This record gives sequence, C-alpha cells and structure tokens, in this order.
Amino acid sequence: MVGAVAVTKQLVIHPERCTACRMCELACSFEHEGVFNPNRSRIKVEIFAEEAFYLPMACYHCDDYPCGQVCPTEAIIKDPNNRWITVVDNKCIGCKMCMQACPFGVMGFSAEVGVAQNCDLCGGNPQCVKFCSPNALEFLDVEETRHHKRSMFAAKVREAMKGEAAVL
Amino acid sequence: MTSPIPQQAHYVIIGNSAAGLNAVDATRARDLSSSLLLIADEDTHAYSRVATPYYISREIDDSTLFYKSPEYYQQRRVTTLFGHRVVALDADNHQVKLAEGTRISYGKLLLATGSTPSRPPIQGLEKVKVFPHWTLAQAKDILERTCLSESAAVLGGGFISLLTLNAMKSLKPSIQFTVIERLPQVMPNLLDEQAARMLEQRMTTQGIQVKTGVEAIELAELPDGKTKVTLSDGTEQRVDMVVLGTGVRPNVDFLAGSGLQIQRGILVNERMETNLPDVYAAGDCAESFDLLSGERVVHAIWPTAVEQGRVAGANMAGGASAYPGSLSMNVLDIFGLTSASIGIFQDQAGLEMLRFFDFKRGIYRKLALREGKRIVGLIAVGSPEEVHYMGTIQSVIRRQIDVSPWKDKLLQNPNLYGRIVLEASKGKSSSPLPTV
Repeated sequence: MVGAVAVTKQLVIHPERCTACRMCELACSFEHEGVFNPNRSRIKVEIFAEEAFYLPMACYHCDDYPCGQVCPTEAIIKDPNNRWITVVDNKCIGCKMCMQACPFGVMGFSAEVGVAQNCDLCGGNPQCVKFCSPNALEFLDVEETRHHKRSMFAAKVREAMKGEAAVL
Repeated sequence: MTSPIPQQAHYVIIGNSAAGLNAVDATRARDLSSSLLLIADEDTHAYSRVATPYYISREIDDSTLFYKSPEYYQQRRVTTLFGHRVVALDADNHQVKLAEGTRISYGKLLLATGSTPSRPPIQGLEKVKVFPHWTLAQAKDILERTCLSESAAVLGGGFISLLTLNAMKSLKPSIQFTVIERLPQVMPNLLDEQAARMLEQRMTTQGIQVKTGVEAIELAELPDGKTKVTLSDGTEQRVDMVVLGTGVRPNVDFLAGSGLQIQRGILVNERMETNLPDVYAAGDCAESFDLLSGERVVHAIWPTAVEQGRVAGANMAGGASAYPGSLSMNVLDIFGLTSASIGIFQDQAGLEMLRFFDFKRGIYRKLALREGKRIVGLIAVGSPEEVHYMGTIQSVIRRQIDVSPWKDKLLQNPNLYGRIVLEASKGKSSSPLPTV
C-alpha cells in the first residue's frame, strides 16, 4: 500500500476553536493544486459572521457513503484498509449526482478538470491540520476521538449534576 | 459461447442497470447461497446509461462505460442471461417466459426493466431513420452518424435530448442544431420558465436554434439522403440526422395480461412489492409514490433506481426495508451552465415561491415553500457551486423542517441548510441521512 498510514485516523473538527483564519483552505489548495486559492480548497470554512461561529467542513468519509452509492460509473471508491473516500478522476464523468447526494454538501467539483473532488486527507497526512494554529482541526486516532467525545459528554453530565449528590 | 438456460432460480432479476444491480448487491448482502439469475435483453455486461453521452463525445473509454466487470457477477454468484428477452410473466406458476419459448421458474422475481424511448405520433416516423438515445447501441449509432452530419434536428428539449446534443456538439462543433420542443420551454421537468430562458439563451449564443411551442408533425426522407422535418408552425428543416428525444416510458408492455397492476408503470408499495405475490419492481419501470405529495409517480432517474433497487433486493431476501418515496432531482451541466432542481418547483397555488437573482454572477435560485415554512423544492442555476448544497437541502426537504426562522436569509446564503439540519437534529438521535 502506497502512502500507508494508521488505518483508523480521522479528521476531527472543533468549531469552537476555529478563528476563520482559513489557513486550512490555503494549505489544501496549495497541496492539491499548487496555488494559494481558497476557491480551490477541498476544505471550506463556513462563516456565520454575526454570531462569530465558524465551521470548517470537509468530507466525512462516511461509512455508508451516499456519493459512492449513487455514482453511475463507480468512480467514488473507499479503500477498505485506510477508510477514506476518493474520486477516481479518469472514471468520473462530472455528472454531479454525488454532489447532489452528499448530505453535508462537502463533495466539490473541479471546474479545471471537470471531475468531482473531495478531501482525500492528503493521502494520510492532511496539510490543513498542520497549518491550523488554533488546533480546530486534528487528525486523531479513532480511539482518541472516542475518548474525546466521552470526556466531553462526561463534562456535560458533571455540569448538569453539579450540586446534586451522586446517586450511583 | 452459449451457456445452458437454467430452468429455475430462487431469485430472478430482469434488468442489468441501476435498479437491477443494486438489488443484486442488496440481496447478496443477506443471502449469498440461493441461486440468482439476472436476465437482460442487451447482450453485454452492465454499462452505465448515464455515461453514454460521454461515450458519444469520446470523453470516456470503455473501462469507464462498462462500470461493472464480468467478475462482478461471478463474485456475487450471479448467473447471467444476457441477450435474452423476457416476453411474458406467468405469475400463477411463478414463471417467466423468454422470447425463444423457454420458461424459467422463480422464487422471487424483480422487474427492473427500465424505460424505452417513447415514439410520438409523428407522420412518417416509422419510415425514416431517426436516432433515439437510450442504449449503448443507439449511442454508437449516434456517434457514427454525427461524424457524417452537418445538421441535426433534435426532437424534444428534455434532459436526454440536450445531453445528447451537447455530446454531439463536443464531438463535432460544426453541426448546425435545431431543438424542437412542444412545450413553451426546454427542460420542462427540470427547470422553470426563468431558468429555461437562461439555458435557451446560452444555447442560442452558441449557435443552436431553439424552437419552443412547436412540434414536428411529419418526417420524410429526401432523395439526397437528408430528412425533411415539417413543423407545426408550417416551417421545414432539412437535416442530416434527426435525434428522437421526446421522453421515455416504462418498459412494461410485455406484462400485459399478467395480472400485474400497471398504470404508467408497475404499481409498487413501499416495500417495492407489486400486487402479485413474490413479484417486485424497481427503477424506471416502477410506479412508486412521491415523497412530498404522496401521489403515484414514475421518476425515471438514476438515484431513484438505485434506492428502489436496494429496497427491493433487501426485501426479496427477507429484509424489512421501506422506501420513503422518491424525490425528483436532476442536475445538468451543459453549455457552460449548471442547473439543478429538486422536488416541486413549478409555480402553483398553495406554494410560496422565493426568488433570488445575482446577475453579476449569473445565479438564479428559487425556493418553493409549503405553508410558508417547509421547503418542498428548489431550482438553482449558475456554476457547479450551486450543486453543493443540494444534498443538505435534501435533508431539510425529506424531514420537512420548519425553516421560518431563516426564511429571509436562505436564498442568499445556502450554507444555512447545513445549520438548519444541525439545529433540527439537536436532542434527536435519529440520523439526518435517509436510511435505505
């Protein structure tokens, strides 16, 4: 396997840390297209300016990926080993059904090449993560992610139960 | 090499495209041991019908077109009967009959026979050579003839016609095209009048003649090999080839007298079952129901065929999968304009229409709302960027989320749809994804 990585890593996004600096977009477009052009980035920061809420969005590499199910040329494949979804450029006909199917709106399109385009995690070494100084983007082991979610949930429970005697 | 025709199979699937093959996958996910026979009248392993326009324009090669390898069938233990046409269904005896007379017994039967180009009542249609575009063989015909043509009339201004035209034009830019559409606009199933005008304008600037509100009434072959097309407005076209793109209809004629309930297509319930025991139908040949209106409808589109095929396949193998109803959706990127639509978008009583124009960027968006707060459809025309939020908005439509808090911002900022879904999901464990 070329560019092999740990098989269980995933991109984790913390919107509360994001400052909308959009360095991730520059890193992404430079890595993939050789230009600093946010329009050609595969990760996009959605900006809700009036609330100062920023959410970086990229392919979630779903288990049950609707983009690939609907693709009429099977150009969207998932590697069972490393668990990311890739568009095979020379199979993609540019019909955009995958974009229409993606529930998160993160399947992109390269007008230059005429094919669909999603985050490919830079082959296991995502550049956006490297350049995200507030650490809003992390590339974590699935186990770490679970741990993170667990502690977040535990913190919520703790908050809710403050002042109450522990029942259990 | 001819393989012996099996006399029976537990699963018999008729159709070798989106619905049939997704049914194969769904069936095999549950039951790998029972026999499965796939019958198709075209003598080839599966190719993608969506890709044939790109085959005409020579943008793809066979490896993309034939998206399923012969090994696909072997791996799933599928016996194939390609090049065989089923001519009758004998439901009492659980049998289908092939053209050469052989009878095959089935345990469970899936009808995924798809569509066929309709032939409008045009005088002389049977006597002249016309070019419909549905199968690969027809695409090859078009490719060949396009190379020899300098002019073409395209009958019908719908999805397939215009995709075919676009492909022919890419292959041979010098051809003079005339599009003849009976209705007052092109793409009546995909676009509203405003969006259609934008597309028609693009076509006109590229030298394509667009005639709407007229239809061909007579075709005749001229001594020089050209075809004369007489139109309802009294004018004539003399062209090297006539592309027939006046829509498709479900391939169900052979089922007459079988006892199956058929209106436009084969009537199915949410499990994709027909009125006959152990007979299922999915895809273009099936008449299911619209997700939003609940009305009976045939949505001859690829995503619907995929979804219905999966439901049918799962249920045939003992699953309990329910189809939520189909949502009409299309996306088209031709003549430098991307247009997409979902659900109900034509002006009608009881629906509130919100419109947004950005003339500078060439964007037109329209939202249709029920009760002033639930989105039932939209149109977006502009760049490929416009397709980005189609999936997110689908979640909003499928779940009929109240969008009134965001109503005044929706058109300007499509990114809000994701936000709406998130907000609506708060406190709910249900997945926003349609589960099939």
